Amino acid sequence: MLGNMMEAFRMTIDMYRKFSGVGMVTVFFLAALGYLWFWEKDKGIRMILVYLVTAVLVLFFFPVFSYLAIYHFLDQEVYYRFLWLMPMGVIVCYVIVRIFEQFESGKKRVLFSIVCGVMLMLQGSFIYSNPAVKRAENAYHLPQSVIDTADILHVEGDWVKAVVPSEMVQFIRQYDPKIMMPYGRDMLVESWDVQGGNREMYEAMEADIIHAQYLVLLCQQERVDYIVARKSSQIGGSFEEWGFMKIASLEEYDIYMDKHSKFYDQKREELGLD
Amino acid sequence: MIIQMLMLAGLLFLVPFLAGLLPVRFMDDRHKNLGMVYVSGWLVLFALFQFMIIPFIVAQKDFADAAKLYNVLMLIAVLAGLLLGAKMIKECFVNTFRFKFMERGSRILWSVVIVLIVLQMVTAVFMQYLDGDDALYVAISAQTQSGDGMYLKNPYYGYAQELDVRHALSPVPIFIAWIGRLTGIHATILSHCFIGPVFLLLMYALYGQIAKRLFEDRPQNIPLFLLFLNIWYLFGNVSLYTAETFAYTRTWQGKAMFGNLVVPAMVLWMLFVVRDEMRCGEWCMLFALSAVAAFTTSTGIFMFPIFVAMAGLILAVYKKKLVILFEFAACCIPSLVYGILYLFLK
Repeated sequence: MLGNMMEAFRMTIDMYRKFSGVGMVTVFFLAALGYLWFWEKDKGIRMILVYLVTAVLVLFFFPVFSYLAIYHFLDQEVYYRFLWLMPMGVIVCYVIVRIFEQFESGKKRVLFSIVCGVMLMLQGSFIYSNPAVKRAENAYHLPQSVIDTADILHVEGDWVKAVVPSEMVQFIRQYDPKIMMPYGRDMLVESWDVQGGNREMYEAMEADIIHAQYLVLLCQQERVDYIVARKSSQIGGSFEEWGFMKIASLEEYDIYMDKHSKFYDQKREELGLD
Repeated sequence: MIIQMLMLAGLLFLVPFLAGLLPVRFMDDRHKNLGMVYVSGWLVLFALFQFMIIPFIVAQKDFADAAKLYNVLMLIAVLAGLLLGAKMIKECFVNTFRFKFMERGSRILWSVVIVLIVLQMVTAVFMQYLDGDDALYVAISAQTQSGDGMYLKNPYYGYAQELDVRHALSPVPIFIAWIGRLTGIHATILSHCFIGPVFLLLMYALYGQIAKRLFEDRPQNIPLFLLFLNIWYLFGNVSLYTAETFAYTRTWQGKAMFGNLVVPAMVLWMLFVVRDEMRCGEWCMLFALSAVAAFTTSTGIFMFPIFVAMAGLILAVYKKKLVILFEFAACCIPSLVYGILYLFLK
């Protein structure tokens, strides 16, 4: 148990470092907390913003608590959320305003505010400059290619099953939950145990060269209706040779359908295919 | 489309406002303002949903039946607020809009703060962040909206599964599915386009209430505090783990709601306690907050009572009132029930 506690403490330190990231958020917070320890006179605010917050901070690092939390009622993946119990922004901004109030000159107040505002900006990272934050392509905030693909796969009033490339896996069912998949996002996260997804099929789809016969065999075992393949993928053989016929071609993807699928004729008619 | 949008606007603004009138009627006079009404309304709606939906989920009943019952509960909350709290609206209005009594500098700062918040809300509609966890949470909303089971289908594959205990006790996705079922708007659009901006507004409303308590002696500095807080949030993307990052990239997910709505609410309520501003309304909302913590995330089931217990110990010593511990313990009853249920089902 002592060993586990030390391990939990080590994880806690690591988590705190990751939480602090590239900015000085935690440094500003600790400085503000220190300021309040020495200078906050309002007893009520001391109780909540000083003593309570310090207690949370101490508890976060306390090995017995972190051991119990990580191994018993929370887990290692989410223990960092305990730091959210400390309202860091409130404390830092409160201290800034209290120091601001101590300047009597209006000019000094303005200068101090500008300096603090700039420091807050420089120490952090602007959320909208994050490259993962982009202009939305549509109201669903999903890649348009996923929506276009799902619209073709969709069969009104019924469930279908499709094998899709990895970049689509986490989006398809957000748009159309009636499209089932033999594997999901669990394939993309290395640290997860496979929860029931078909890893063999995923690896066949993501191989450098997709062996058409092999993939079709796996699909037929799982009664998959569609294969959505990247146009850029190298395919060994052809899906048509093994019973999956091309029914649509999008900008980046080709969609193949099992000719033995009960929806095959209906889909061909719907898409206006001969 | 217009009718759908009007219904949505009603559900996201009018309904919480009207539902919030009842608890605020029984609050301390200093807390009677429009922001508190809106905040309390959401707490009422979330808590009612949590109390109602969990038995349905655990018993593996249909979502349609649960949704109908919640429609009724929501109407009761709205009517109760309207009938018993309508007289308070004028008082709340007056307490909120005191612009004509403010200095010019404060008015300018308030304008800047409001513009910043509105810009963030608009940006939340037109900017996207493709988060991997949406493959779980948003897919659960979408599949619940289009089907009838709750947490009985694997959101990654669509296959039937045993009850997903880890997530079932924190049914934010089901709440979003309920809004979708009522308005006819796709749950994914709701999550990404509408829930995000509204909850950002709710978050800043909460911080506004905190600011009122912190700067009771100098209310003219409230907008300055909120301006710095806006900057703090906008530049808080220092890692994937900060609550500030979650606020913009995962607003519609329960865990983001916990860090950016529940935690500020807990801090606000502790400020009420320390200032002896707790009346019947505030105590009821603290009890509701315990349920809301569980509603947002399973970690909330444990973190709420831990936080409240620590606060209770500190405040009991400071105020020399042991009864605070018992009052706080009573407010943690929902956490206790959901915690036992979580461990039992797991």
